[in-house]
Amino acid sequence: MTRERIYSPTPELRHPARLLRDMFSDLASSRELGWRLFVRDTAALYRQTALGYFWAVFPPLVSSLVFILLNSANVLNTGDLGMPYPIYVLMGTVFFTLFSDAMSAPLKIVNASRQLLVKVRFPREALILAAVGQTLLSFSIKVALLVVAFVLVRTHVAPTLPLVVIPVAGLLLLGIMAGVAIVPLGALYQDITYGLLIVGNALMFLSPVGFPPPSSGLLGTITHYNPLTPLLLCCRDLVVTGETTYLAASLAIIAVSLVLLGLGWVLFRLAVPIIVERLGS
Amino acid sequence: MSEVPELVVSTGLSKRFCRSLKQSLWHGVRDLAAEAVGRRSAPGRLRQHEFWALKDVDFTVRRGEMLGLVGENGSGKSTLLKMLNGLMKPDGGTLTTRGEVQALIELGAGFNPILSGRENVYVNASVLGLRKAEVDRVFPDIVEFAGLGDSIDAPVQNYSSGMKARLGFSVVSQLDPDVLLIDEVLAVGDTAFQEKCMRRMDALRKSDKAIVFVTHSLYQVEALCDSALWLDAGRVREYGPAGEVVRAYLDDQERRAIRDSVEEGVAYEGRGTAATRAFFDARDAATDTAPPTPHTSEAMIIDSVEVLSADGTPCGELPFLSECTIRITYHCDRLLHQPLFNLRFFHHEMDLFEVSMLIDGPGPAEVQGAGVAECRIAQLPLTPKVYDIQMFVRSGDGIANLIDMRTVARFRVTDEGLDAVPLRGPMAVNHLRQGSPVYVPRTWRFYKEGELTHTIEARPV
Repeated sequence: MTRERIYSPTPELRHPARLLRDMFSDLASSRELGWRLFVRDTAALYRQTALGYFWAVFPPLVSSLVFILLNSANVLNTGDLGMPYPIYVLMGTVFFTLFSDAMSAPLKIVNASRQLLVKVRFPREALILAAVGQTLLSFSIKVALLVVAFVLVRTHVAPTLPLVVIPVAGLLLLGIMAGVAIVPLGALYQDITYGLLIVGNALMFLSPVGFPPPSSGLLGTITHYNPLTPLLLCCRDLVVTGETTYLAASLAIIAVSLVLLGLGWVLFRLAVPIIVERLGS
Repeated sequence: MSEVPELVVSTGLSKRFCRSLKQSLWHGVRDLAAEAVGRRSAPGRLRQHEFWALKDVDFTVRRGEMLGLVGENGSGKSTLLKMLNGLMKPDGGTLTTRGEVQALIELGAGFNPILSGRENVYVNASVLGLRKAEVDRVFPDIVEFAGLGDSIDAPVQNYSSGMKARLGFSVVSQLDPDVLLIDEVLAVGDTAFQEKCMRRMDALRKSDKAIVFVTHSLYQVEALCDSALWLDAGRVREYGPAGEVVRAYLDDQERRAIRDSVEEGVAYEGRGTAATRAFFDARDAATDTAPPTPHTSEAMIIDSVEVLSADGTPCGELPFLSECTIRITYHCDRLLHQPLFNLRFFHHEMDLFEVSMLIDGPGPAEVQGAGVAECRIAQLPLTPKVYDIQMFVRSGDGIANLIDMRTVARFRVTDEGLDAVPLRGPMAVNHLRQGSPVYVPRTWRFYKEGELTHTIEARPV
């Protein structure tokens, strides 16, 4: 039977069954396109550079070096970390960048695909899938950097290492959830893009990236309620010490992120036609 | 015809846009908030700075039918196409599409300049819904159709705009949708490629698809489309058989061009005496065919100059190759000897031909008081366009101007009677309309080895 589409001003939420059916059928049909877009963006990403994939590891490397410099000058009060500081901070920046990349990737790819969005109808979920792919690729290159660092500093990994996928999934989901949720506003107002940069930078200092969470003061309170804190601490624990008290919190964050991601997905779908008509041709 | 399935049905389709970007973004936020709670935002009315980009648009496209969208820039054609493609939601009415809808909207959308043509083909095809295996199969055809050869592996940023367009069209030409939307694609590429595209489109049409086609080329609409929809400021001006809509649209364009040129005083500047402009101003203030204001000299007063149709009624429009009479009503207080009337026919600023008593011979020996002079032309040899008549009157010896030359009448030759001449192909009508203004009956003869093999009598029957 040929597919019939009826366009009318009626809000899509009035037909929730149809909306859900369309969402999942589009998600299914966007897998191949998502992969294609991912391959395209990956192929094009560093093609016009001399240093290539080095640019994926450069930002966390620089951030880590700055932290190491601050720490060596005793500006930071790190105390006993249970691991060499360079390993501590490099893990912090690499895992944090996974979150911040995931948070900025959906808006970035939507903005880069404006031409396509306003002209061609394709399952928009493919953009999000490609964004996830980009984030994971960038993360895996950074993990290679971590491996090199572990070898150089001669640090042993704990047997709990495989479990690290749980907090890593949490960081990815939390980031993608936030990223998808801001697309509707971010595609309309560029303020969001500008703001996102600042928020990303600020979050790095409000999370246990370069120093352990302070137990008191305003920073302590903020870090305590920051959902990134348990995820980042859990990552470090599972990789190096093998003991963590943050696994339950990480699982809870994953569950909440999944629910919110679902809501963000609905909002994203409702927003795309509204965005398209305002982007012009 | 009615049993042929309707693949596109638009009923009262409306879409509002906003002129101010800031306001538009804010409306967007409110629309989104309304959608998120399952409500309609400001249904059926315009908010601040908004206008109807489309309003109450009704049409249907059946399987095997090709609909052309015509209209000026900003009339809503592309908006309609985007809505057909499901990119935007209507603000009023409903739009139903049946079957797979694919758009060929501005080529090369989504090409990444750094990647090669080959890589881009795979991405573009994937965006359009083709699977990799399908692209693998048709890839040679795509390269062949685009005529790119080895350049397919060069980065797209090294392509000319024509090459990019060709590649874009080639990818889409491999699609097999039920409804195909085409936007201004044939404006790019060289003539050979355009012809290729036209043939491909014709083939698609014959293969029982429904096609909606936006173009500024009215030739193409008339040559390819079954029906046409003329949009004017978001509203339907005409909807029907392509030929009729195109002709109505051309008529309107011509009227507008004349009106604009008169308003600006540009086109008529060459012979733009104050009197001429006053004449146009006065006439345009009335209607297109209002009688000109009388003009006078010491010797003679012209009360009116009228164009009469074959049955003798004054009119502003004449059928093609019909009989026409120019009637001049005048009066003169003093006695004039054999005054010579002269009429010149113009199209825009082009002097086409003259009927002159300087050539044709003297009129009545003595003229005084009120009188009428008529010049009858058995078959006016003018193609469908708008024409002006300029008149001057000379003294009997041909030396003194009794009435200076000025524009005295305007009329239009219509499409009526076009069937009097043998027309070849769908382009012929427009060729006649847009080509040279003068139509001369003629005979073509073809010989082979001294023998007459073929004759064409091109003259009215």
